Amino acid sequence: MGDKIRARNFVQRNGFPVVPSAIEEDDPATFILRARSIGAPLLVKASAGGGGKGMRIVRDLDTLEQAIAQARSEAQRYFRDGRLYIERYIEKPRHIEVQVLGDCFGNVVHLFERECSVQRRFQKVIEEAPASTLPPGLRERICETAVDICRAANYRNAGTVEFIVDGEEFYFLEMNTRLQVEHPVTEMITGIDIVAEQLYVAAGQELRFSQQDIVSTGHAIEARVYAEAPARDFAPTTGKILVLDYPGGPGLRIDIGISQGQQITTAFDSLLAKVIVHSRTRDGAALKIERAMRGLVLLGCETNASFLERVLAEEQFLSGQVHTGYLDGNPQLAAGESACDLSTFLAAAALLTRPVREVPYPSFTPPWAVGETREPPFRA
Amino acid sequence: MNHLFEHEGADYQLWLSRCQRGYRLHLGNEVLAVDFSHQGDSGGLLTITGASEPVRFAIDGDIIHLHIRGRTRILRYRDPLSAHALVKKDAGHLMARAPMPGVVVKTSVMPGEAVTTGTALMVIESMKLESVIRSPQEGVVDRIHFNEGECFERDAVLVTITQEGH
Repeated sequence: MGDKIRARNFVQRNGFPVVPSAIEEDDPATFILRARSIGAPLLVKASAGGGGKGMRIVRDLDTLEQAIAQARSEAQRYFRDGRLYIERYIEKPRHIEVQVLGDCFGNVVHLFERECSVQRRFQKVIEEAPASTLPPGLRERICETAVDICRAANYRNAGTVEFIVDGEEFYFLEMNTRLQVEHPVTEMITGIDIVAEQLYVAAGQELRFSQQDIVSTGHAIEARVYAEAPARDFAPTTGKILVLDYPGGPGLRIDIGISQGQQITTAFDSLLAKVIVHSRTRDGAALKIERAMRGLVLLGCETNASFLERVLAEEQFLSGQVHTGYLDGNPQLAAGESACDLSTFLAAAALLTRPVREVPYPSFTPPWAVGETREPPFRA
Repeated sequence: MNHLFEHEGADYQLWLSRCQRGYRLHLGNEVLAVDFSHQGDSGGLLTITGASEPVRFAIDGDIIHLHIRGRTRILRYRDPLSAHALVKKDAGHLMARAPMPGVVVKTSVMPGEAVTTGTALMVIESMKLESVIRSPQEGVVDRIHFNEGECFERDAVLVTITQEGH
């Protein structure tokens, strides 16, 4: 189920809904022709891919061949597998995924769904559970479909079945046969330690609970703190973590992979930390996580923290009306701060410069008057 | 004394003068009474027109990272003289700069090669994302500053283009 093409074929063969697509290896000679016949817009994907690598949107069919070449080059480089497939690109889809657990006795349960529609460059930024604005009937059908797919595949592991939801329609997208970054929101609403259960079933044990035992309580939201500059098209950033401080408390969990003094380089993924909260209601969770984000002090490497705060307080996000194009449709969120409180920052910066700090008035020396060897203006 | 700071691409000039208690900050048409008292290595209390704000900060050369009221901003101290010199040196040359730190995957042009606006110069990679560096204008490739496989920081000059006839 980890191979996108084989998983898709399997799901389709078993009668579950999939998005219209063309798979290259079915017949390489007619691949482009079959893709064209689906019609624009199209999404070119690497069959071994993940994390948005090797993906291209094609709105104009004249650029299809160029997009295929680029996607193949990326797929070859990152996954050593140039196989591609192309599917209909749905313009305002919601990304809903279902957490599942299967054991080797044929038991499969779901741990409800997660809403992961707030994405940039096909990567998730904010995830939550449950998907509060899904109609209850649709939500049940999606969770049951996920379980049925896993049962048909004899799946035994923790895993996630991802769906694209287009209004009342939903299509199988892919399956992640592993633990995911966003698994904590599910742990928060169910109280189940997914890692422990994953190890338990991997050790050949029978699941310790049935579907009826799993209850969803309250609402959980996770925000991913990335080393990136939202205002510069989410370009990765680097730097040394000079100050790191973060809040704690009930219903607040911070999973952090960095420590003070650590160098952030381009050699690794740009995910630095995850801030996860749980509250009785979605509004309560949104307020709580925004507050937690403001309490996170991470200095030395530019991050998306302020951008996340803006999203978490934005009207459309708060109304729950998000789809995967939400961030592209609200470019002001990435564009940056309003300059309204900038004078406070400028005052602090000016008062922290070296001449102010170290030379008593009035006999200060301007930093540029020390000849060729220019010292940093701030205290080292 | 005069201070120049850069924040998200814009320059801000301000003047700080000592007064009886603390400092006076002149910023545009505003004059604010300000002061700062340190608390520990990376924190302090900023007083601005009588109100106090806790501040966390980190200083790295010319860069100052500030966290105030839950917001983080990065400001760069600009030496007015060296900022001026840099502009003069740039005249007549066009530079394709790195939009992000990364590594050179492939160079697509050679020194001496004529290019037009948008010609692909280089393919770079950063955190598993490939992007193409394109020529900002028409001209001739003067110098390629990084070889394939070499790493660079954000804003590094990757390729210099000279304009024909200059």
